[in-house]
Amino acid sequence: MSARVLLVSTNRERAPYPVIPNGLACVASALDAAGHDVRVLDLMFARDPERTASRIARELAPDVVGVSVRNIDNSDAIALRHYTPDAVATLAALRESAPRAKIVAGGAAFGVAPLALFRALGVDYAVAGDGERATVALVDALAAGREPGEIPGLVRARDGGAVFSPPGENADLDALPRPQLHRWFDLARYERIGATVPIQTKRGCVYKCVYCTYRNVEGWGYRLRDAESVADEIAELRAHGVRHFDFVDSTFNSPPGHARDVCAAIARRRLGVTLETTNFTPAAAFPDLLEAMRGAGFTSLGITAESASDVVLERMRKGFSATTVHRAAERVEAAGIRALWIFLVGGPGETAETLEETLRFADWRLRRGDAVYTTVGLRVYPGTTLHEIAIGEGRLAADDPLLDPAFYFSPGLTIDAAVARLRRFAAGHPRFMFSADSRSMILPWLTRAASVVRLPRPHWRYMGLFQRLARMHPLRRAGASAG
Amino acid sequence: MPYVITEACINTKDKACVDVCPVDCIYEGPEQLYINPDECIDCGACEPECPVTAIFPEEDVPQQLKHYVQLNRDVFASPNPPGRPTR
Repeated sequence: MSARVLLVSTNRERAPYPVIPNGLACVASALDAAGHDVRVLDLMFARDPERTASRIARELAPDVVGVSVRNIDNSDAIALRHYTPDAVATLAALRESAPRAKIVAGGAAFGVAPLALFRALGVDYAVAGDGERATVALVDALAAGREPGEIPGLVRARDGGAVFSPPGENADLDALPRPQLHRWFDLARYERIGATVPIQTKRGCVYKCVYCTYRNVEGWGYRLRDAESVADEIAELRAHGVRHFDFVDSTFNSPPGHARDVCAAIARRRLGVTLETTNFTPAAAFPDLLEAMRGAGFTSLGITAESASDVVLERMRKGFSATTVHRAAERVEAAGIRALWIFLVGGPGETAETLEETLRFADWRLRRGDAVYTTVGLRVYPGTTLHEIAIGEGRLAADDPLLDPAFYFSPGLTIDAAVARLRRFAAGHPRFMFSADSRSMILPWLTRAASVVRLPRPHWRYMGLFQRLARMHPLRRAGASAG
Repeated sequence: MPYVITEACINTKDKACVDVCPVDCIYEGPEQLYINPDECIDCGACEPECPVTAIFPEEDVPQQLKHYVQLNRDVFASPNPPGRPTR
């Protein structure tokens, strides 16, 4: 039996840059391959998301509505945005307009808090972890009029409560349909607002960073895609006009052998593409790998160092030292690849001294032409080591489901002192981006303008100019004086 | 605590561990593979890949194999340290 399925992407966030819903495309392609009639509604560009969702749901009269929730919030203590209320409003509109449809929710957020989100959103079912097999099994059952039962990864209501069947053995990624982003989304429109087209070469992570949810969302260990299949996907999207790609793995360069194979497969095709990733670990910045990345088309890297202080790196369990961070900087520069350094300020062990260590590193890299992006405070997510640390330090109650964002900030430094120091540093360093500035009303428009006139990516390379223009803008000045 | 490669690797050198190491910290000597303890990030990815159960977290190395902890460290300070694994 085939079902009519409406899949809805609720994510409308455009800062620091908009994200194309790769996970929803994976599920759409899997349902399509299983013979279901799939329609995707992307609310990113909807003027009135609830009204649009209602209209499409009424027109389509779906059997099943799938709603993706990418994030619970933006994890930013300074400029917090909470997404669950918008998802609740969209779900209410869909429920009213498609009263006979079963409502299923999924997305990365469910890997973080499956039961709590299921209860908060009031859906019929939810899927946590890999979405492809669980969603197909669920829709197959619903289409056949069967009770879905214990599908691995499924959350459902039972006996007045909710029950979660933990994800079983994770899927072989090469056995799943490719996401085929061009079939489901207007990629050119996304690129015009500054988005990059995502490619996943693996799922899972082995690192033990205390704050991170990747292992909860994608599982422990690496599931690697065949390098030629990755190159096939890029070639297919290239044929549909996409020239620039962003690798969105937990860490692109781990394990390095697989990253080398992927780069070699892309280079062999001579596709004329440019590449970037915002998930590059300093721990595996090997010269031969960087050379292979350059040969494949990499023009920039986002390096998730998080700190340049041994004390903080050790406490965050990053798996590398400050020496490794410095060495990676030299190697990336020698390879001729631009770097955006990403730091988290306020993690366990942070003090005024450790912050100065990181800022000295940042000053060095900014003078060498790199850019730096910094957020303040660490969002505490359920099931992470940071959650245990926060409970142990008496900062959080053990039974807090953490759907309302809670942040960890080191007891060795006040958040006000950190913000004041970062603002002083930013004033003298135009390519230093502070998360609060990414909320400036003018910055997304400047990024969009860079996309429209087809300035070479990454657009953060123009951030010095953007920041100067943004600081001249009356809305930014009004916000600064009010704050 | 880093991971340690022990006796069962001798003359086995399957190298499945090499493929999954996220930081390329597994090196090859004439008889066995070694993990550089200064480069290991303690992720544990190598342990389940070993077909002969030669890899242990340092604190879990069986008593009769404890000397491999020091061996994995000393070999990198020797005049002929292990090199990148061959294929």
